[in-house]
Amino acid sequence: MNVLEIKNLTKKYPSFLLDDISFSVKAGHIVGFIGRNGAGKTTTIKSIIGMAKPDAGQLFFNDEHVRENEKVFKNNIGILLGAFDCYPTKTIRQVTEATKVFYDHWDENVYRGFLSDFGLDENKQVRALSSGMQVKYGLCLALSHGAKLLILDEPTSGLDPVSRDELLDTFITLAKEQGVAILFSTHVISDLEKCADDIVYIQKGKIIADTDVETFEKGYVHISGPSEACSHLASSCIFVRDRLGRFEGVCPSSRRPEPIEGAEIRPATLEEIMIAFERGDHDE
Amino acid sequence: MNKMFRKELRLSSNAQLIVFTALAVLMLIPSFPPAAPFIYTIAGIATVFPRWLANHDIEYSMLLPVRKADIVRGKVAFTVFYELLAMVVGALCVLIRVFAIAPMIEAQGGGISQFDILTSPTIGLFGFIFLAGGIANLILFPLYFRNPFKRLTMPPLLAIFAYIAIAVVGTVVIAYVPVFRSYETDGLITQCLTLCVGALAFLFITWLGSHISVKKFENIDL
Repeated sequence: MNVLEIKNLTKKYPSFLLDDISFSVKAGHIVGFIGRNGAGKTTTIKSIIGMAKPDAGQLFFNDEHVRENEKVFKNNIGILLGAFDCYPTKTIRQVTEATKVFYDHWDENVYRGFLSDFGLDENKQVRALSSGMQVKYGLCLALSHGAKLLILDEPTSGLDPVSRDELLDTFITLAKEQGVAILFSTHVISDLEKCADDIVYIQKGKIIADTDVETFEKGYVHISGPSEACSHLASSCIFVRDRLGRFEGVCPSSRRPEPIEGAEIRPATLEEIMIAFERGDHDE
Repeated sequence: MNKMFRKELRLSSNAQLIVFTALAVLMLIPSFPPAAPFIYTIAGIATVFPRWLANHDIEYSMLLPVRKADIVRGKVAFTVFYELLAMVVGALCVLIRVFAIAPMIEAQGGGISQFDILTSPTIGLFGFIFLAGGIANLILFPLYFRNPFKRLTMPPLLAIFAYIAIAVVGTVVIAYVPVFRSYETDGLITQCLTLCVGALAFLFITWLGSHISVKKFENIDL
């Protein structure tokens, strides 16, 4: 079941066009929303949560129009847009007290559990938190009211590797055990390889891939080996790096070459595919 | 909107605003320019706008389960609360001044000068103060919500100058138009009417400012 459905979303700026994009987020799925800086990820997220006014398109949450049911929508979603740096001179306790009254299903025990897990001191001012701790506090607020959909923009930025790993486990638990849908925008592709079910890839305001991670990864192979053995494959690849006698390329699986002595041909990683898409010449 | 109002009270109230609002007690001082204390209230309210910007308040508010219109109305309600609070404090001080301080001075043989009489606040003056407050709100909010990420410099100044202009007119009127000083039947009726018209104008102009602000805020991209 689609928790969030975006249909033909269009937003025009003088120097940027979010061009008729459509995708959906299913219950219990973690969707990695990827693309390079300025591709349209933040514009899409802002359009979903009402910070930007789309020029066209429709948004549905559990088959209901989002804009017509904005309060219900926002009561059922958790949002994190990077580090939480609002009201820096207030304490965590003060900000939480002001925030929780807005939510119909605020769960104080869940909130306290996250505070404890993340090692947050309620008496600290928001400005006294490191950016990683601000991310964690933002997550505490986003995760404590029984959200059915989480919209997370760079949720792991600034976190140490252990916290990042713990957080990804939390996301997987929320998705798989509680059926929470998660839209997860990030540049840290390795995070998505650990937890994402689906990938939505946006480039220059257009969706160029919307599929499950396995299918996406299976669609491309990575070739590496000596230049003299592999350079003839360049025409099949969407991205090639050939220097110092070493060839590296990414090509669609449909053009996978026969095994070559001295060369390694393996499924491409998400990061390799993304770099190939952005730096290479793809038309698939 | 109630939740937004309470959120503003919790997070946006600050020492400067509270002190400036409390300066309405200056109404106790004989011969103090009668509308002047409320100018401090508007100055106090003007201090809240840069704080909203510095505290990333709009970004925070947009994460909450409220509509954009609720964000505007919550902020307007918060402002009106402080304006009315200053009025109530001011009115109480006027009552204390008229019924306690003035008789005490007279009992001690002190005289009430003509200047004291001309500058003592009347019921009608509050009508002008209401009107000035409404105009200040009409200037502040639509200009703020046109782009809440821009540092406000001119709108607070404009609001304060407009407020001062109306307050000065009100002060001159109550000083020099006898019916505005009289508590005979005609004077009382005129003053009560002035108060009612001022209060209604305050409500209408503030509503108009809020309405324009909602339209502007709903159409901008944050």
